Amino acid sequence: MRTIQSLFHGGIYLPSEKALTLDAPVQAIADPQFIFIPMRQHKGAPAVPCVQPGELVLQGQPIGRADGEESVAAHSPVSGKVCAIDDIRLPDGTHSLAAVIESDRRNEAVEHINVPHDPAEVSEANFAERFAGWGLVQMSCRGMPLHRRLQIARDNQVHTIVVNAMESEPYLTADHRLTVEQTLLVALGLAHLCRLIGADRGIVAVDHRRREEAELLDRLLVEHGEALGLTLGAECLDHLYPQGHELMLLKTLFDEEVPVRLDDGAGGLASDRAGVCVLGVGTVAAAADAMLFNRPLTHRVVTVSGEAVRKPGNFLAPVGTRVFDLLALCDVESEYDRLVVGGPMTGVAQPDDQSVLTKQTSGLVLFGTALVHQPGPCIRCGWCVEDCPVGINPALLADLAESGQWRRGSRFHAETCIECNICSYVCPSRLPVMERICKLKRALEREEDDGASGRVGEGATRRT
Amino acid sequence: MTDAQHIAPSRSVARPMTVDRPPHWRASETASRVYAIIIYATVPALLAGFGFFGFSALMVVAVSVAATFVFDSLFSWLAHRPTLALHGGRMHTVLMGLLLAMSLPATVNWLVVVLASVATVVIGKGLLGRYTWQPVLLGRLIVQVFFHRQLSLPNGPVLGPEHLCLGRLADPAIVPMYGSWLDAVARRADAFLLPQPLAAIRDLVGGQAEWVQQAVAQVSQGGADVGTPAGAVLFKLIWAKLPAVTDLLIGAVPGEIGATCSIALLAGGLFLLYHGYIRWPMVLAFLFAAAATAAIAPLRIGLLDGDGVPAWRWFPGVQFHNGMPVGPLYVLYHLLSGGLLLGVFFFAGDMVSRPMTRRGQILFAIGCGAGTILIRLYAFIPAAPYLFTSGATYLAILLMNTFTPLLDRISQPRAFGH
Ligand code: SF4
Ligand code: SF4
Repeated sequence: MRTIQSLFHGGIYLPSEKALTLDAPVQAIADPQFIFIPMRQHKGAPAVPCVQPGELVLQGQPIGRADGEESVAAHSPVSGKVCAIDDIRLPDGTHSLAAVIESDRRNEAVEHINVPHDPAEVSEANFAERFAGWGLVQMSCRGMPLHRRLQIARDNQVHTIVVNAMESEPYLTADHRLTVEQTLLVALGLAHLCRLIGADRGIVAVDHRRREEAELLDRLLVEHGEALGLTLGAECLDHLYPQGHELMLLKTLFDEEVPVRLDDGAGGLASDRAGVCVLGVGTVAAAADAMLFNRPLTHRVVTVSGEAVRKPGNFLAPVGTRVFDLLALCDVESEYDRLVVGGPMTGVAQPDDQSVLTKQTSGLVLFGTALVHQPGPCIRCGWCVEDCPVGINPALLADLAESGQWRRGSRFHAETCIECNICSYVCPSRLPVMERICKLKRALEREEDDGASGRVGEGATRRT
Repeated sequence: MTDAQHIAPSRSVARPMTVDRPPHWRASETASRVYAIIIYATVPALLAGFGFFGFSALMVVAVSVAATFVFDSLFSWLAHRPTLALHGGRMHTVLMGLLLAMSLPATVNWLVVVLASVATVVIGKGLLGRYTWQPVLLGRLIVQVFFHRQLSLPNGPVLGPEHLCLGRLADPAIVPMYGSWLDAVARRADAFLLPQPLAAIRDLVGGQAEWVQQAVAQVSQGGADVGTPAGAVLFKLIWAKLPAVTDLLIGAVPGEIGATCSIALLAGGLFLLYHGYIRWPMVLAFLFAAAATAAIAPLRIGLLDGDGVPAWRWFPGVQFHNGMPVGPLYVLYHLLSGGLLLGVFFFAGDMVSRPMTRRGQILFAIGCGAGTILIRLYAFIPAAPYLFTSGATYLAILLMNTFTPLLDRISQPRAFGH
């Protein structure tokens, strides 16, 4: 299988650091004593708790029901007793209601789940309701309810689904392990999702360093695709960061570029306009699990790695496991400096280890040594411009943001930024370049909203 | 069930966890490292300067770095400017001091060096440390206006081959004509006085120099084997008026401390290219534009006209004389003399004042290269006839610095999907 070279401009090769956990099989962890299931693990309305403290719940039982179109249900990953409905802090810093469940360690499941289920039962007409009922969401940082994501794709008449198994963040290997160990599930999931939104093509994009994985996947995909009359396959792509981003996949696989709009959320929805919908490999596997075994989304694979972890690994953990419960399994050095949920490029550093795993948590990375990033003035080295994958001038935009000239930002295509953080990574002055550009984008968004609601005058007075 | 029961103790906290924004790791480059490496890149040229100009050169370097550092600290303190304390600030100041010394001749009075340092720091670097014009060049230009007699000389001293580093520059033996530095006539003197290469080239535009008229006249009278007047003049220029190319390569010609030794400058430049602090396209554009302009720009090397002045001839770069490529050699002299390489690698390559985008840098470098040659040949101030012998490169870069914001603006890369 040939490696497809990246076609976008810029990009960098990051140190991969994946060797730590690349070959560590996924270990299912024993249920922790307390599990905190957040009601909001997706964009849109949070689920509404439908259990009372003191109530006994079974594994897979819904404990929160979807609240409207843009919401999904939440399920208990264990059997046990609901202790409380509490407010907790999520890894991204926001707060959400959560059901606290004390596990009885018996793992009794609701009877109709975990049994073979006919995927054909899920059809174009009922998938929104079914997926919301299974709690399916995008398991990447985007976090949109999966049925909403698919509806948008269908409305845009998407003809191809690309499954992103690139995992371009360093350290993380959860998607890789999932693909290796659940290859068939990924293949079937892709086939059925294509069927649901009427796409006739499906491609799994795999890092070219995982060639064997790609070849096996390709064989299965071709086989199952033919049975359903779909063109499915896998491709090996170069690991130039951020090749794993939706728009970069679109560029490299189809040589197509679509202009990004502010409301695309860092480009996450823009590829639809070119007829391509990109989904994470974890999301596809979860959807397949649900459709084939009637299994709600209650567990996910998480990588725990980093220099401060003595026993790194990949774990299948219940959603709602607290971070320290997971860290306790990995022999973590007590004096680590920072705990990052997600990868080192875009992950969120935690103030403590009290947070919980959500459906979007792909990994925990722990750094031992303190890095002080004291920003200095921009020395105009131009590296951020050279490496920016979308061909904008990050230094200039960061300057505009700092000096409050955010209106000029749209002239320099601030909205195109895909928030890959390369600019901040390469900056020798340690400037938070991307953060400033995000600030600019938020300001532009506010302006757009003001314009849409007819309050143009207010925006105009802020011009100065 | 109370909260306390299901909130477990956190890790044993001896020091707090760092909560910082992503990215949580960075490339290894820092501003101080960048400047430190540029400082390393100046070392070969500085060593060459020390070799050919001796202790006077060392003095200039010491005074320049010390004065730049002291005045930068003082000014920062007075103006409450934080840039010096930020990382990279001190390194940048030292680098500016070194570059200033490299762009001054070793014979310069130390007071001039101090004044140039003050101008560099206060006017050039300014309050924010985000300058439009390369501070050293600006500082140098300012003192050049007032002290052009010290900075722009028609000739200058070089230490003799047996007195490298240790000889004295004062009282140089006078050498009227160029031979090769290695078989210098005045071996016994510590130093000897040589003409600046560019001064002779400039004479080709004035048209008044005697040797030019003689050469043209000879051709007009002469037989079949003397060739064209243009070729003959260039031949005479190269063989009688300019140093040997080897001298230019090793740096045994009069000039600024860090600007004469082409090999050392190329070594430093390659080091910077290797580290990616300057990029090939820009360097090549600069050199190519300079070479092309020098090859095309007309000189007074044609036949004598009515007033006894040689006529203008375009395309000096393609002249041959008896099968000898005198035209291309003339172009080579342009590239190797007058601080052009110092300008390419260290002044045009200065990160803050050059454009950021690659296309912008190429346009910028073309402007610098062409500007250098045009200023060298055609900018002439009677009061200071040699002002632009070596100052040309620096002036051209300063002029192009002015356009940096504009070039940045018009050479934006193509945004994704646009
Ligand atoms: S974060 Fe945005 S501006 Fe920075 S390199 Fe990535 S796409 Fe470019
Ligand atoms: S990488 Fe940093 S220092 Fe370099 S141009 Fe960009 S913002 Fe400025």
